[in-house]
Amino acid sequence: MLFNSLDYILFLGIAVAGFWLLARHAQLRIIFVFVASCLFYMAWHPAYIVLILGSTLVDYIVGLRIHATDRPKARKRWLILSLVSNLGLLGLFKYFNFASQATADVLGLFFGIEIASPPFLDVLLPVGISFYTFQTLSYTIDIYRRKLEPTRNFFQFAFFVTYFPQLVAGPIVRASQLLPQLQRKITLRDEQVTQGLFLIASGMVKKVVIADYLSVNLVDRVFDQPELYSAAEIVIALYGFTMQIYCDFSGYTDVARGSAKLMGLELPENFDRPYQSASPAEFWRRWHITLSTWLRDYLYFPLGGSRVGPVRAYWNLWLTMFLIGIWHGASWTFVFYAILQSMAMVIHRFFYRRSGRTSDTVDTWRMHAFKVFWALQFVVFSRILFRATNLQNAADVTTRLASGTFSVAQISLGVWAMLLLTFAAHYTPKRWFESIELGFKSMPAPAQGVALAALGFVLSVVATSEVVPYIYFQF
Amino acid sequence: MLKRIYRQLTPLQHLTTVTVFMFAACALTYVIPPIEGLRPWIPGEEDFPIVRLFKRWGEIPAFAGHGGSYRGSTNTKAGAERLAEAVGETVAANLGAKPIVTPPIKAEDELTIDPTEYAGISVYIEDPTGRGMRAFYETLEKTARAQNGAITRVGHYGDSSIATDLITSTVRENLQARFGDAGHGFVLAAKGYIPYKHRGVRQSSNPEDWDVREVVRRQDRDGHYGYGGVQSRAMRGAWARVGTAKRGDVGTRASRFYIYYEEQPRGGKFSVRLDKENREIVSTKAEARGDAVYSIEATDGPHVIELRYARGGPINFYGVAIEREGPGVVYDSLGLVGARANRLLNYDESHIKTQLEQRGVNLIVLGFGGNEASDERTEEAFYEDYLQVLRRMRQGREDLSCLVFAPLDQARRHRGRIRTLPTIPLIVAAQRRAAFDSECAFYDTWQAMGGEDAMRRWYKAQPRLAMGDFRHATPAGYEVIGNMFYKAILAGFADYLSDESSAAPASSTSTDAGSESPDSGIPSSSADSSTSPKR
Repeated sequence: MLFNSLDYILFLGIAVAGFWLLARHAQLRIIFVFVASCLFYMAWHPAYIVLILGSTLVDYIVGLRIHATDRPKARKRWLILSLVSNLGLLGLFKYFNFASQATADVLGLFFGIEIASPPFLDVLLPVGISFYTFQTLSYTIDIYRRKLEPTRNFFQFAFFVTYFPQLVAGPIVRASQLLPQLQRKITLRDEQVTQGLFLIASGMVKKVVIADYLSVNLVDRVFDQPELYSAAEIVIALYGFTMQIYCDFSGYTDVARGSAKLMGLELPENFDRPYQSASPAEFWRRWHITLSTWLRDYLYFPLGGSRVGPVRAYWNLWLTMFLIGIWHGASWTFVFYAILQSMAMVIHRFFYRRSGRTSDTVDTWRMHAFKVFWALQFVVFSRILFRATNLQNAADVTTRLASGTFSVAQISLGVWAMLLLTFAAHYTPKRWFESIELGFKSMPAPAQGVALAALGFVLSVVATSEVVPYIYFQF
Repeated sequence: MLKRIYRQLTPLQHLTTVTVFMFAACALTYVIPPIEGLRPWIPGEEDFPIVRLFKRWGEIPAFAGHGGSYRGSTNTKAGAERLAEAVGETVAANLGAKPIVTPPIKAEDELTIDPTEYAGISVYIEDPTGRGMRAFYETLEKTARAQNGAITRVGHYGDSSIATDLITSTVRENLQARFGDAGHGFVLAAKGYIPYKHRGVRQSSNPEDWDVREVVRRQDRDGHYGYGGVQSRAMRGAWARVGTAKRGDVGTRASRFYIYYEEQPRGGKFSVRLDKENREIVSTKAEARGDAVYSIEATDGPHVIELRYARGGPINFYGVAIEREGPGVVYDSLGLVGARANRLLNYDESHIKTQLEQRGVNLIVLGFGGNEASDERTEEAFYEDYLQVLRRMRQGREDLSCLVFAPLDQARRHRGRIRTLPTIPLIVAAQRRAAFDSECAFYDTWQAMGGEDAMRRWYKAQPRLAMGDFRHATPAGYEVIGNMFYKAILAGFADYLSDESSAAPASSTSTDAGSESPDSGIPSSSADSSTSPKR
């Protein structure tokens, strides 16, 4: 079930209504939302509910077992079981075929050993597996580190894992963020209603009006047949994709957070105007924040972070960033994307340290603008690897870029307008958007209802095509 | 008063009020006829929201497995079955279909086409008069009999769907694998800044020194655009290189290059070098304006020629053709982005006649309609256009076969759903009528894709066969169309052969592959016209 559909709006209405109607029956409402979340997930492909329920059950038991014993070896054994089962499923479904093909490629390229048909699993990638795997791992790891008490209520834990707004594309919520909210009395505040509705509305606009428009009218065309476009048009398409993926993913997060707010729950923010970043490091602090911080807390810090020798510190940084990159997909393009991003981080840190700057150092606005400009160019051009369907496609796009041709005849006025408006909006002060939200908040409730319906009508008219899936659903 | 009431609402009452008013506003679309177009759900036409999702259990989501294993995995039985379910077995059977290569036969052997070679199609070439394709099949028969130097040439005009050279390269590769590779064929000398791409050939030039004039934009008052529809005017410093592909099943070898250009009283000189050697100077000066061809012979193998502006006045190139000795097939891809069929009326009548004769084409294919689909015109208006265009291009020549290649399905979003444009069936009907009235053949690409709403199904297929603009196919989709069209040609040829063998003993036992074209020295085939009922 896609957020940008009538089905989801109705589903959300039913789920929220049921949630509040069962307000006096805490356990029942938890079970109700858990069942609703399972149905939400099964609307994609019913069979894979087994995977997520299996994973939930394993981690529920592991959490209790780790907590029940003080013997370090036993605790570690249970943690390893959780890691192996979760990462094993992720590896099998997401990375097995790529690993198999990559091995065949490497053997053929370097050793002349040709494997005509490397082992291949004809399976679908379970939707959301990259997200819920990390969520459940945060639970068992936090219990292992004694930072979290396990919940004895299975349905509470199952609610946390399967909670439908963030199930398939994040934000990656940690047990320590959501479980305590479930264990308290859940109440709805008036600002949550307004914020929730406003977030859902703005998320829909980002997705349906901006991301889908750019995708269909610019990005897909150019990447499908780059040879038909000039270098200038390829550059515009790269900017288009940069804005498309931001509006697509952050639009999803907005709807997820808004939906949770209507149930009185808070999900973490996932974006903070990432294209205002002045360096690759800052970009990853502003983009998909919950993934970056997850890997920081559960991988980078345990490896020693930057509190080790310089070589090891660079290695830790490189590895963490590489894994963030490869998390996005199992293909050579994502391997190179991961290498590019991780190398950029390492190089940035090297020069940052050599410059003797500290986090308190403030740039002049000109220097800051200069850095933001170049950081954006790095993001935009590295997206070739992110968007390309394979290395050949990436090479074709790059070749056309190098052709140095300047025609922009195939870029429509609508695309120009959309790009200019959206990039301009990205660099405007946050308070401008807050004032729009305040305007919505000041409207009487009936007017808010009519305004939302009117927005729905507008979206149905301007929607570029049928419901277009979110990019991050693929990961 | 009301404002105060609203301010006193509890959060839950607030949320309930918003929801009630939102649904009430939506409900109005069901009671006020002028706004019924805004209905979020159409009873009877669509399944009930949410419930419909569970009715589709088992369907593969469009985004499934992008980062993982599933993407485009039609190489497995399950993947192929899923594709067949989505777009039909005929379409699915033509993705990744490879031609069956048969060894050349001797002249005295019986020439037949095994039906398995064209299995997996449901739409065939329609040629009710039998005169649409006859000349082409006669030449193809000579090629198939491996007669010395028997080259069959096809020129496929069209819009952006042809300009990608994906449909045409698929047909080219199939025909060349089946009947022999006689070279890549025609390419523009230089493309300037226009979007233009051919597969299986190397091409480069310095775009800033070329002034390109396209038939689709009517940029030349005299209508001299050359066979490819683009006149490339070389300016001082202009250069262009055209060569065989470095790798691939076909197109990697050449033994002849033909350079098509315009002669004129003030014409300048250009230099030609084959493989960076033997620089030759060619003058384009002549007493009167006319079309000329300069040819270069080479040993069969990989080659590159370089054209350079040398000196003097203007030099107008029409293009370069890469060919081999034969026997074999040459399939020229002549698509132009943004083209409509009636833009071919911008050609000067005698100029295009000369160009087609010089090129020695046996079959012209006209694949337009993609851009006309957004024109609000009647079927009759489309019919008149195509009739005129066919007259202009064929000019009564019976030795030139012609075929109208219908447009791809094209759709737009209507109330959130992807629907075929109403103009598409009109254009297809107009094209079919115009083709038959001009004694040309017709290939219904639209029906081959699946007809009504095919674009929707192709867009939703895994791998995706249509692009998100619902006007173009993806490379995989174009490959499907190319394979289907190739098989339709083969099926038509099989019919022709069986008709011939039942009517008379094999007529083509002569060792002459064709006659010399008076203008160019390029062999062009001659053929008798005859009638034979076709599919």
